[in-house]
Amino acid sequence: MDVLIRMEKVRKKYGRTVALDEVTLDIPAGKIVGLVGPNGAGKTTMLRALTGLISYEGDIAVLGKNPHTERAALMEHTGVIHDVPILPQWMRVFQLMDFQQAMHPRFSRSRCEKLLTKTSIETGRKIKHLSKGMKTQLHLSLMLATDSDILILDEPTHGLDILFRKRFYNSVLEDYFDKEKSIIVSTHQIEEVEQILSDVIFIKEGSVLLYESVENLNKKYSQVVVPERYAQTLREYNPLAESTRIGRRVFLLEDLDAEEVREYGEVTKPALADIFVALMGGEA
Amino acid sequence: MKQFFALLRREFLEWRTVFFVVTGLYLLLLILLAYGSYKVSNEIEQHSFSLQRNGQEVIIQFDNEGENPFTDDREESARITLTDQPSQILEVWGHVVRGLMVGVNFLIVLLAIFYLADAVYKERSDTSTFYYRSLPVSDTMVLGSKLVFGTVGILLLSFVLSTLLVLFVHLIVPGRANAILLASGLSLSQFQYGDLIGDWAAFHLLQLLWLSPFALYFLLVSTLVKNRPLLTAVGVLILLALIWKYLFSPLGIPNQITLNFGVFGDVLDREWLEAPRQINSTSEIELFGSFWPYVFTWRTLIALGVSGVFGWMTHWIYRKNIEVS
Repeated sequence: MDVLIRMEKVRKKYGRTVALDEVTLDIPAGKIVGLVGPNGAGKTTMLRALTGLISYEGDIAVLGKNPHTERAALMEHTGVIHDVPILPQWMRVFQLMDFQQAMHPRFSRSRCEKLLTKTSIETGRKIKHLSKGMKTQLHLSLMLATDSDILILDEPTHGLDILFRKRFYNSVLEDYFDKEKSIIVSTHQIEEVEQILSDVIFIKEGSVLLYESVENLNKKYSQVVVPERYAQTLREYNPLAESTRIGRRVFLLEDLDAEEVREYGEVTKPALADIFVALMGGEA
Repeated sequence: MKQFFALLRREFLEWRTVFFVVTGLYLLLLILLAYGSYKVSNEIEQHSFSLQRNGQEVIIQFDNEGENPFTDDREESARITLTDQPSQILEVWGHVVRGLMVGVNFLIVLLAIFYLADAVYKERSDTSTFYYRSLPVSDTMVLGSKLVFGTVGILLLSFVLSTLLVLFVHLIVPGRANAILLASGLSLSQFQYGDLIGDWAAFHLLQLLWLSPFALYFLLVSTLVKNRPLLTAVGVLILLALIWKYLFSPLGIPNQITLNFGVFGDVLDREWLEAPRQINSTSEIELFGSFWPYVFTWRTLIALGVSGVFGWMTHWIYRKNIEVS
């Protein structure tokens, strides 16, 4: 499988703060990768490094290109949506499409117009007069109408309601994703993207704690809910995390044979959010 | 090139209101001046008179004694010979035209400063810089489009305004205020307007070359600061000028800027104030002379060198200094 993104010992410091610490990973084509971490973990720094917005130590190759020195060439194949509205406020929607068409050789105006018909955005309106949700929709339409190989989403639904967030990710899946393309989406609301991710990267204090496929995570981690009287027994399995839920004890266990503990209680697949919290050092 | 022109178009669309307002206000000023000359003309035409031209003499012959509107002295002859007056009239008009042209020049420099100080800062402050940087276009091209728009684009505006002025002087003044400005009309008709426009363009190209370090300085500040780019840029410039004066005595930096106005003022003096006094002269009015000796000077070399350093710094900082906050 082709590697779209390769990071090798990537390090980035802001003053004394290490934002990325020796990050090494490969992301192949056809993946939807969730970049998950608490605020200040280094998610945005990683995405900015991938899109050539910042300098860094180490090596990065996105589609075989160095994003810092070949950003213009890379952007021909990469779409980016940020966590804040970044479209020029003074432009009208049709002017933005004109501009995008003139600037981007892989942009299809007709496709963009078609995508906009699914929204309530009028092409004559000024961008500054659109709501935040509309601005995100407009930006998404621009990106979906651009034939890019990688879509990088940096908390794209930040500050938007749940209905819009669902619609957003549905559009990304239906109108963009195929086996040749990859999506990297950073978020700290993991539960809303959990269903669409193929892989997940947990990042904390600039370091990658875990990079695994969701399928493997489901195999690797188990959640066992037992009555209080079996708590001590489960603790002998060295759980990653332990918590209480309506009078019962909940354990998150790694590499567990479910049959071994089934007699004590209910064994389920944990949510990504639970694994994330456990790995971050909180309780599951 | 398609991308570059799209970037230039983007700048124009974003700033077009300023261009239209400036052009509109300037046009309004010219119309008001034209209206003034129209009123004067009307007042004169209420009287019955005839015009004669005899060599350098322009004679206004009033049909009735005492109708001369320029004097209350009834004993003064109804026949006025304007031997000296053409040059006086022209001198007044020379000052008007000079004021308008230097005014345009000053306005253009102000606009360029406002634009260049805000050009990068604005996109950084409203975060649209992320959008522009997500496009397949190099930073060099983005910055280049801003620099070209802030210099060449604004020069084109200057050209539009000066063309309006020339049209005003050439068509409206002699046409409407024919009587009182007959002499000036005759003189104005001797001017080589093509030459004047050519000199205007040459002057601005030189100005562009020599003031390019200042243009890039303002662009540099625009990429650098977290707030108030114009104030910062002008403030630092004033501070540097004062330090320079304290260390080396002459006002080096302001002189460099005002020198350009002075040069054009001298040209206008020759074009509009001295040459018209030789009304029948058919010799061409030499203004700058050849353009090239002005280009190949130490001053140009230094300007290009400083511009290169500022340009490199601007590019470097633009890549690193993305957001305002």
